[in-house]
Amino acid sequence: MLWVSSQHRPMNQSETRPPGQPLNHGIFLRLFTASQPYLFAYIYTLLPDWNDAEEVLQETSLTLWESFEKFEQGTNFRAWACKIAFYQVLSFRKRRGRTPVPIGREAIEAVANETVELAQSLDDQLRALSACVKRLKPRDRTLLDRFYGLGLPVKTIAEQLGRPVGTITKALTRIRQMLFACIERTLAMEEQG
Amino acid sequence: MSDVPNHNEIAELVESLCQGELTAEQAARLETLLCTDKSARRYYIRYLHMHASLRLFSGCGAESQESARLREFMQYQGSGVDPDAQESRPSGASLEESKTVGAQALGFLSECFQQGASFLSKPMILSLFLAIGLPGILFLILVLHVARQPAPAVPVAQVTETHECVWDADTMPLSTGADLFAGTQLQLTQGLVELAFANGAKVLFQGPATFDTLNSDAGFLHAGNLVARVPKEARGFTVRMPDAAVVDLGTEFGVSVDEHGRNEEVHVFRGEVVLETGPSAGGREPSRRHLRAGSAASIRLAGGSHEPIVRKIAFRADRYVRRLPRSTSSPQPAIVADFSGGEGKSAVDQYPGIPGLGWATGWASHKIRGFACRATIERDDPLLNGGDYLRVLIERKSGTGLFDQTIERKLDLDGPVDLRQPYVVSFSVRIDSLSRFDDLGDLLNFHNSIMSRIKGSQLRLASGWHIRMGTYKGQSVKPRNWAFISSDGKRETKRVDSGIPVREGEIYSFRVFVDPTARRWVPSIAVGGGEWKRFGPIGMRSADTAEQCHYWPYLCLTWYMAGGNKGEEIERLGFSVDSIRITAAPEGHENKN
Repeated sequence: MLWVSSQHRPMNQSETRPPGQPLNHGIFLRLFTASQPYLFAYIYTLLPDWNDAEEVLQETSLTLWESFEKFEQGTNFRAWACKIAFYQVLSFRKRRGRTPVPIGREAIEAVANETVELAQSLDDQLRALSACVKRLKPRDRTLLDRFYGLGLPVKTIAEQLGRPVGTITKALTRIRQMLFACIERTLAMEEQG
Repeated sequence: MSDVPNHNEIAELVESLCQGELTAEQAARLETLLCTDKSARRYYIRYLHMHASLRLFSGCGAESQESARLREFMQYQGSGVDPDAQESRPSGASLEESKTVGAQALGFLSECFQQGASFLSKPMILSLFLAIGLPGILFLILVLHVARQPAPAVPVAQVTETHECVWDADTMPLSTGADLFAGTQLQLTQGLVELAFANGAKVLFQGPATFDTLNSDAGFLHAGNLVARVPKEARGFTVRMPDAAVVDLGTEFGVSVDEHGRNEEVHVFRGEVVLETGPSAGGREPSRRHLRAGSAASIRLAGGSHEPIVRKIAFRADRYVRRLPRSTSSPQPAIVADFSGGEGKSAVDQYPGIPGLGWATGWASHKIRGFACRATIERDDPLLNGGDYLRVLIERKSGTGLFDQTIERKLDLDGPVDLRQPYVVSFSVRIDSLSRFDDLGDLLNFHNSIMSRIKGSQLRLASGWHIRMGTYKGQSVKPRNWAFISSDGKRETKRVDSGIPVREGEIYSFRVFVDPTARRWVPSIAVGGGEWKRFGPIGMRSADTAEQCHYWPYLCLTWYMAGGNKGEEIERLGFSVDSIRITAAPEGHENKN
């Protein structure tokens, strides 16, 4: 296996490397892929539109690669990536010009700053989410798969299932709220622990 | 949590945003809240993080399968992990291993590769890889090649019995023999269902109940009553519940969860379990308590607390259904060791789909110097019961030496038939060819010992019942008569001559009544489907007790060709064996044919 032949030493998101040693694509890919879910969610909170967020993630990933040599040893890759993503979001908004976006510049900055403080908590949330999703009923999981996984519009799902659009919308809202409450409970348990 | 706003406004606004229905007016209000209200801002961030994470995970199909891969990914993400911690795969390691390694290396991305998610096909990832350049692409291709191999669909459990089941509309009605895969959810409205997990554990749950098969050694009980019987080899089998998990240490226990997914209870019938409560996904270790036979505990979330409280409660065995009722209208439960399908080459041929309970040794044809042995599954020219059967032909044209072959399978003591209680073994043998096969040590044996694992085990060679055709020293048994091997209880072998000769072309049906505890067995033979002739009772061949012999949970067929052949005539034994069936002995069977 090529990918394991290069390094066997431990590495986490605070990648350290000897000065002068070139970073290779393998290291970058591992760091990027490990951070990517968080990074996508981060961008989405600043730019709450699936297509926009994915486009910015694409641009961010390229910028990260191009700038990877500037990545300083001992620093947190994810924090560095988020910083770059933040400016990519601003740049994207600027290019968009008059096209309305859900939240404005001031709110974006407030959200970005707050996210830094919440970083650990968001990691915990991600873990809790996995446990909570397991508790969903099959029909709810199926609905999530269609909406989130396949990216089907609510209208299409409603047609497929022969249900009114409003029913599907309400069901998705109910599932999200249920999951969020479950995450709250799980994290509260951990805090009390 | 301090982040939760004390009003519903932010929740409504954020949900509208998720629905894509945020009006301009709502957007303005959201903007204001995000800029001025810290708790609203935090709620917004956390809710949208969840929303975005769902998109990624659903894109991988991960949560719909409750798969181990999701857990691996979560652990990978949460542990600060280190992708490089995986050692390089040794040459010759399995594809499964390489897939696991690949998944951990790429984390989320490889999840998507394996699941075929559309997310990865988006241009951003391609652009990234193009930017990284050729080495990166080669790297990716290699990983993709490994990661894209479709994971084989391996059942983790099988439905072994059902009783008067009514299934929820969301659950496809399942019948005996149905394979269950990781993540299958069973919603039983009423009735009883017994599952056998691949590791050997059995669970019996009673409707109304909702139960998930998580993997080959774990399930999740959302609601209802469940009894698990776990043999020693399946130690570690775990039943998860919303607020607790019961880890088995080789025993029998019952668990229950109310219809709201709360108020769990554990009752231990035999052995010992570990009750785990508290978080399993977080960094903290769950609390663990040992519960022994005759004890019980409840798990409650008291008054708004999220920390489960465990209390000892009165043990109640009567709360659970521990065995399926035997219906007079349904066929008698049986262990059937058949030869349908399969090729017998595997170390453990997975009959009937549960590893470890099939034929543990293969019967494939093979040659050794001077001998030829062909063992095949046949359908034409069936024996009395019809269907597939095993046909064996062993020949020696000339020379000397010993040929021997064994096939055997382990039986489940807690299977459809309780093998600690009296039972009956039935099977038929046809002698297809018999030429010479009269040297000392030329033998054909049917018994319930185990040959391949005697070495290193605590068992002394100790079949219980033992039927043989062959030639013996001292001629105490007439050559080529069916004989029964017994013992005097002091390890001295005794032989009982049936007086029934073994003839080419004849079919012999055997019925063996076995009383393990009493250490006796009663064989009967019918020739050509005719009348039964009963013998015995005969003592077990083993001098040890049933318990010391683990109740002889095996079936074993062995054949030997010994001595030599000077080449005047081919030495040959050909025989066919039909499926071997074991049923519980009816009352008074010992005195009947």
